[in-house]
Order: sequence, then structure tokens, then C-alpha cells
Amino acid sequence: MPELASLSVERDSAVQIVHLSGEVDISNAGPLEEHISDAVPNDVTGLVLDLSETQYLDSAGIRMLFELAQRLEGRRQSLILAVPETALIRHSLIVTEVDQAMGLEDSVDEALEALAGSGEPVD
Amino acid sequence: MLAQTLDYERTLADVAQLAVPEFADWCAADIVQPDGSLRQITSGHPDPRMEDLLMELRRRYRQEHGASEGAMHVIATGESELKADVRNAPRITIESGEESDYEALSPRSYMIVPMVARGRTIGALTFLSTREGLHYGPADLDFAHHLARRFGLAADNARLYNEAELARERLTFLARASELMAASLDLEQTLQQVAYLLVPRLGDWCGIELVDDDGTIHNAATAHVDPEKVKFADEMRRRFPVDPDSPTGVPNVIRTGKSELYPEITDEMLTAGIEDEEQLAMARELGLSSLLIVPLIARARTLGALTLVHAESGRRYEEEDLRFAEDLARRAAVAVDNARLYTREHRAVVTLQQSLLPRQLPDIPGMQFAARYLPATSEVDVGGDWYDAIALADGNVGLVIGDVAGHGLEAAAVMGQFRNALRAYALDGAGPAAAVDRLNRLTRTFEQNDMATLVYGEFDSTVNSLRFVRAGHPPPLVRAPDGTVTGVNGRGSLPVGVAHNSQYEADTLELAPNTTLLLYTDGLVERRGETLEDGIARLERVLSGAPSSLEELCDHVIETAAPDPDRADDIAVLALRPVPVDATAFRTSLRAEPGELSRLRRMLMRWLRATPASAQEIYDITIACGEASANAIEHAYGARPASFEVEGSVEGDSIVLRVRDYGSWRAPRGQHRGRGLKLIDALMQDVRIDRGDEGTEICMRRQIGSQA
Repeated sequence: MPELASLSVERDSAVQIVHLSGEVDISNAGPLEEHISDAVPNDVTGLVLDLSETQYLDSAGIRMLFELAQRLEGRRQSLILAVPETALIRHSLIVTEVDQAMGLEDSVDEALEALAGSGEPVD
Repeated sequence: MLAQTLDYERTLADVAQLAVPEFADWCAADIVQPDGSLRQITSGHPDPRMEDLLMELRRRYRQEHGASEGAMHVIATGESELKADVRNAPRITIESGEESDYEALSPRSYMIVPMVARGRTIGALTFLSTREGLHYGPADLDFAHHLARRFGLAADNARLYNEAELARERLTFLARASELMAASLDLEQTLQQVAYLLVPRLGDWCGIELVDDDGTIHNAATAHVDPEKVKFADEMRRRFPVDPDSPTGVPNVIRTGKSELYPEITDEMLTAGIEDEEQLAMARELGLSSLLIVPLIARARTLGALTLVHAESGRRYEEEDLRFAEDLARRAAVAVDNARLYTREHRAVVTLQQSLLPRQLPDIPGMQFAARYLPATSEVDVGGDWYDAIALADGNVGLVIGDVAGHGLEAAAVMGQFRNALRAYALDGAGPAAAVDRLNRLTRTFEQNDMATLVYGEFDSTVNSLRFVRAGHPPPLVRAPDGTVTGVNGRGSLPVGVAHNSQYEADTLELAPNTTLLLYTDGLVERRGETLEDGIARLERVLSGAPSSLEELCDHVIETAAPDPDRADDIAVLALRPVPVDATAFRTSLRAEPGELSRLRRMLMRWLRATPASAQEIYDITIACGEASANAIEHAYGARPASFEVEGSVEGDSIVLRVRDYGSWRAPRGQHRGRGLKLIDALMQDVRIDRGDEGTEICMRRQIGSQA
């Protein structure tokens, strides 16, 4: 499969940060969800999924976000999205009420702050 | 009975037999042949010795009297002849030794009457009375005339019918022979089949000789109903090869291109024509009675000769047979010519080669493609050139021109490997340099040292830019809209398959709209006695003056720049031209596969950028289109290879999109399934879904210029 999207992972103390760049559609959403999920170790309190470099995210990508949130919830881990105010994808996330099911912040830093304020480290 | 008996010779035999014995003891019909000779058919005599004697007497009679009396005279004048009593006045000298037989036969009286049909004397009937038979008188003569008229008409009808039948049969035969020759891949085998089609219908023997490039004549086919005879002829040919300088026969026909017809071959002719005693003996054993030789001529060149021989059957060739044989030979010559140009292996390679080339080029708005492949004219040189145009998932298009070292079936097969591997790497999204690098490393796993020169480029239509790698291949040419042509060398690197550590790097080339990129293989620029540089310079000139239509441009380039009609090498050409996108309309057809979605987005966004839509509007419309298309792909699930269509248009201050599929509608299910439609509803206005038997169309509008 051609690489429509790519992931890069970093860790900020108890939080895992995954940068998703490129495009998400029905052709790669499934595998991406697996990869992102696998990139989150058990010893972190949550995941900041950085979508600031995500150029395209359709309903398959939105579904991916919901399923990811659900899966992390089962592991008692939070999911916060970092989506800049100006990002083109933001409008469709609001329309589909993604922000009701998970955190939505303007930047990675704000997402980290939000996590630090709400979450508790899991053993 | 006569009217039903349509066979020419049988009719005449019937005439003779009906008259015997009530009216005559012996009867003969002499029929004028097209060449003026007479064919005689008799009632036969119960005593074979008598029949022999009668035939011998007739032969001598004709020698002695010629056309002064007898049947020949009757035919010439149309006047009948009546000899009431010849008992003591034989019309011919009876030689010693014949007396007792003549006595036994005891001819008494005879009549000869002309057979007239349709105002034409077609022959004569002879009635002979012997021993105690009739003395013919005027009343008998009247009856003889009556019989001759009736039988004459029946015979002529039979002749006409036979001619018509023969003509029809010959047409059928020609059609069959032509079909045979056109269908077969193997020249000699075809000729052998043709030879056996001709025997025994048109001859007891058939031989086909071909001229080789060095002028020698060789036998390509021999047919005879008896295989032993074929062996005999082969043996004779082996011992007495054809003298290419012979003033007559096959060498002469080949030399002059003119047919030869020998209606009757006499022993004198053999003796005069053949000096060697043994050869003469063998020729006599063949028992040739009539012969014709016609040239095989195609494209004004004599390729060989077809020989037809009558032997055992005693039949004679006539002018009409010659014309028919010439007709047949013309067709055979075309088959020989084609088979020479395209032998079995040639056609096999060309077939394989063409099966490995793309059947159609991608349909991408804003891009025109044209491609040509011409196989080399000699089979040993065919194979190995290829071109490809690959619609990549990122919306770019991959362009390939390549040439595998070597020729023939093997090169064509290796080409298939190269082409598919490069295609796979291209579709993987590796990018030009990585794709070629991977292809080069792959060649190490090939069993032989296969190598190829190629150019691989990926064209990004959104920025009109080509990233390309040139691996040992002649440089692509670029023609600007004003006709200026430039060669694009780029960095250039080694062909793939030469060294495993070759470095491949991509160069960037801007391709403005209406610029033409021409990729080609060296077959187009290599000419004997000319450097590659000169060839490329010539191609540049030709390209500069080529017609603007991309298809015509390809034809022109090949016709004008290609070395000569006898192409020593394959030629492959691939042309690309970015064209301005129609800002008011967008239309494309895609395969119903998830992988097509990203390609669709690229194309759609490129079009939307040419409209006044803002970045957010472009994104939202693209998302909506993607959702509708994902629906279309889902509808096609399980169906045959399906496609769907996307149309876009600018209508007033709105963008209108239509996504049409040909599958069956499925209601969205599950908590996530409705989200796509929800998105469409939120991002677009006037969304309409038409579900019909033929498929589903989603039509939607988005007002632009004001933030929705």
C-alpha cells in the first residue's frame, strides 16, 4: 500500500504523543488505528494525537478516532486530539461531534496541559 | 435422363451408349476443347481388341486426312458426312497384321453429324455400323441429326453447368486456400497445405519453389496423392538440382515473372529438354502429360513459383487453368510475403510483447497521453521495449519508457518482469529514485544478467512538475507550445541490472500546460551509419514540426523519424501533455476501489483550485465527494469490476457535484455508517440521493465565496 499517512511517536513523561501526518481515508484508517494503538504503552496516562499535519480525514478517519478512544478507555487511558484552530479538518470533526467524545485542543502543548490537569497516572 | 445427367463426359458416354446397338455398333463423340483440340469419348466395343483397333484407325485417319474429311471436317464445316457402304472401300490404309482384326470388325457404313448447341458447333457424333448392321441412308442421317441436336444441347448444358460449378468450386477453393494461408503462422507448413489442397483436384502433382535471399531456388512443398511419388520427386531433385539459369521452367518463371503453360508434354519435349540420360529416364517415369508454372509475385517481387502437373490422369491444362493458377499464386505470394515479414516466432513475440503493454492509458483530467509500440520487422529483433503510465494513489502519474537488452521471446518475457516490478514499486509510493533503485536491486535475483535502460518519472499535475530518473536511456524530449524542443538529460545513471550499487537520483523538470514530453526507445533514433546524437538531433527536428494533436504527433514522429520500413529494432513511444483544466467542469471515471479515493481527491482539488472556492470550501467539498464516493465503492461490493463517475461543475456561485455508481444501494448500518452522509449533509447544500435500478446518484451543491 502506498503510504498516504505516516506516524511519529514521542513520549512526554507519562503521556504518549503520536503525530499523524498525511491523509486518512477508508484505505488506511484500519491499519492506522492498530498502529497508533500499538504505539501507546500501558504505563502512560493518555495519548495526545497530533493532527496538525493531517491533511485529510474523512468519516473513516473519524470512525478511527472514535474506536481509538474506545480502545484507550478500556485501558483507562485518555485521548486528546491536537487540531489547530485554522486546520481545514477541524470543521468536520465538530460537525460529527468528535469533540463530545474526546478532548480537542488547538495544540500539542495545550493537549498535554489538559491531560496533566485531568488524568492520574496509572501504575 | 439426359436432362438430369449433368456431368459433361458422362452425358457424351450416354449418347454413345444409347445409340448402340440398335442404331449403331459403335459410336464416338468428339468434343471441341477450348484449345481447339478434340476430346473423344466412345461407346466402347465389347471386344477390347476391336476398341483398340478402332482407336488406332481413328488416330491414323486423322493423321492422313486432317480436316479434309471425317469428324474434324464436319466440325469445321458444320456439314454431315454419310458413307452408306465402306465394306470394300476403307477410308484408311489397313496395315499388314491388322487385316484379320479389320476383317473381324468389318465396318459396313458410317455417319458423322455435327453437334450444334446455342449456335455453336461443339463437336461431332460418329455412328458406325459393322458386319450385318445397317447401311445408313438419308432417313438414318435425319435421326442422327436429331440425336446430335438433343445430345448437343444436353452436353452444352452440362458444360455450362460444369463451368459454373467449376467457377464456384474454384472460388470456394480460393477462399479456403486464402483462409488457410492467412491463419497459419508457419510458412512452409502453409505451403504444404496449399499444395495438398491443389492435389488431385487441380493436378496430379503440385510443387512450390521459393527463392532464397541469395537467389537460390529451393523446394518448399511437393504434393502427390501417392507419397512414394513425392519421395521419388525429392530424390530426383536431390540428384538433379534445378539449374537457376535454365531458359525454361521454374527458374525462367521466377526470373521473368511470366507463367509457362505446356498443354501437352511429349516425349520429344523431354528428350530435347533433358540431356542427362538418367534424368530423362526419371522424368519419363514421372509420366508428365501437361504442366503449368505460375510465378508467386507480391509487392512487385517474384518470391517463387507454383507448378502444377498432370500425369497419370492424362488431363490437359488450358488457358483457363493458367488464369486460375495465377490467381491462386497471387494469394499464396501475399501469404509468403507476410510469413516472411512475420514468421511464427515474430508473431509469437509480438503477441506476447503486446499483451504485456498497457491496454489503455489512464484517464486523468488535465493530462493527455498517447503511446505507440511498433515491433521490429525481423523476429529476432522484436521484444524488450515497453512503456507504461501508472495512475498513482497520491494522484500523480508514473511514466515509464524502457528497453530490455536482448531480443526475442526471452527479452519480451524479461520485459514483463521489469514492467511489473517497476509498476509495483511505483504503486507502493516509493518515488522515482527509490523505485528504480529497488528495481535495480531486484535484478540481482534474476537468473540471468538481465538489464534494461529506462526513464521513470512521476508527474505531479498540481504543480506541473516531473520528478524523473534516467537510467542509461536516451534523454526525454520536451516540446514547448511554440515548437521549441529541448533534450532533458538530467543527471543520468547506469542502466538497471548493470551494477548492484548504482545510485539513482531524481531530477525535477517543470512541464507547463501544453508542453509535450516525449519518451522513446532507441529504435526511433538509431540509424545505420549515424551516431545516436545525430539521431536524437533528427528526432528533435521532427518533433518540432509535428502536428499538435498528441495522437497525430506520435504518428508523425514514428513515420518521419523511424529509420526505414525494415525496422531493425522495436520502437516504443510515450507522450504526455499537461493541459489546462477546464475551470467550469470536472469529470472522471474511476474503479470502485478504496485505493482510488486519494487519486480522486488530487484530481478534484486540482480542479477546485481553479475555481473561486476558498481552501476550507475546497476541503469540505473534497470530503463530501470522498464520502459520496466511498458510498459508491461500498455499493459496488461483490459486483463485477465496477466503476463510478464523478462530475463537477460551477453553477453561478455554487459548485455542483454528482457522484454516480452502478451498484445496488445499501442503507447505512451501525453507529458509524451514517456518519458519511451526516458529513455530506453538514458540509453541502441541496443534497439529493437518487436510488434507481441502475445505481445511485448523489447530487450536492456548495455555495462558495461565503463561509458556510
